[in-house]
Amino acid sequence: MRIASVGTAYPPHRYSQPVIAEALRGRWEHKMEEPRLLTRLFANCGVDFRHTVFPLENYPALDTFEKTNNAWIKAAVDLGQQAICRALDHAEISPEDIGAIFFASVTGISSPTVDARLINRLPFSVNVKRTPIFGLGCVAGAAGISRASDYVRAFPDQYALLLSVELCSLTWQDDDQSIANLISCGLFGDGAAAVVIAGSETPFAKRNKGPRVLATRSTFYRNTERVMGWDIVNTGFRIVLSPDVPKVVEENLLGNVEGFLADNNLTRDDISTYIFHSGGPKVLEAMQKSLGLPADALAPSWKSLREVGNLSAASVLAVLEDYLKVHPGKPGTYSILAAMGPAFCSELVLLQW
Amino acid sequence: MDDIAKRSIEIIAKAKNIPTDTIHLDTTFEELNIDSLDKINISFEVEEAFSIEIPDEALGSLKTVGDVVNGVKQLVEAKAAAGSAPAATS
Repeated sequence: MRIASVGTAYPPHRYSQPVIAEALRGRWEHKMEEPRLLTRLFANCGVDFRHTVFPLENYPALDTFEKTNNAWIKAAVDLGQQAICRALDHAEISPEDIGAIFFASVTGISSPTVDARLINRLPFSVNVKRTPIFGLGCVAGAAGISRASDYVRAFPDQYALLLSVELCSLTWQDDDQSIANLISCGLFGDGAAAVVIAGSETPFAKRNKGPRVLATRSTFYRNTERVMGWDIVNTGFRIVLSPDVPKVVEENLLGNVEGFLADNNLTRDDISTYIFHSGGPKVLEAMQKSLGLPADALAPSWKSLREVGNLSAASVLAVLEDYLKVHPGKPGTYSILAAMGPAFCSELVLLQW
Repeated sequence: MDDIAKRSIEIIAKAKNIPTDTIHLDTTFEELNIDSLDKINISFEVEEAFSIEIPDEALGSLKTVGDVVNGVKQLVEAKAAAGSAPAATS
């Protein structure tokens, strides 16, 4: 099975980090003892630009969960459609070729889910299998590739589609000026990504294009529930973000990677590139440190963070798109695609170019 | 050690609740377990102590205590130079 293509889509409004910082500071400074904390945190989280679903001046009116979630549904369907169409175009296949859709998001909820609404817009088969995923957060990009790959392993003549849409700006909480919320509002951006996974007996896979998915590994870290996630409150999703995230990464990533590689008869010396989720400066530094990587080893992840922020699940898929288009591996070389997220947990995908 | 270095080290020591004699110019923030939030809080204290304004984006490049001291010196000198410059005519 192979990764056939990635398509990304971003909302039309794009702002520099200082502009977003000033907008939120204007809304919240009367509630803050030290408003400079917001601008200083924003200036030091590795993000230069982000996209937002709405112009910044529209956000204050989105003051209930009903309003933000309804806005999320409409925008997620529109943006998801764009990402899917790009991914299908790159793979040169049609919606009716897709056997299963995996839809991941953690920034809004709906029933019927966004994937169902998209089946009413695009000519997918009425027999397409749907798996909406809520709650995996940042890990869902890597986990989604894993679950979609599991599917085509079982049905090698089919294509699976992963769609991630994360509209993080719709989770901004006006009544939470905690450090966790300020960091979250400084770090996370809006975007969508779709990935086509081709079963080994599909016409695409037979052309030997795209990296092969050789193996995947999920690892759950027991008793880390408060490291990251949401508290669901009347106004929507309130961030849970512990300062321990980099420590948890440092304590676990190396062991996860080495164990995974050993089970596949490989070592770290065999890995040419690491396609990592752009979690934030501290997370990327912890990943580099844990694996003893040189400073430029995660350059595409840092670049994605600077240009669009942390897109939650969609981030690692945006980085993957960059690798496919700009930094493809030499034939036969190996990469590890990885993300971590709420539980806390990690998901690793072993690719061969 | 000059006054700016001494005062900067006192601020860092107070912020982390550690003795000043454990902090030297080549001591890294990593060694002192100073994270990005600590850096921001220290920056507010330093600004107040020296009556300077640190650019928001400057903190990311600070890795050692010496980096802080050098940055403060530059900002203090720039402020003094601006203060002694002839007033612009209107």
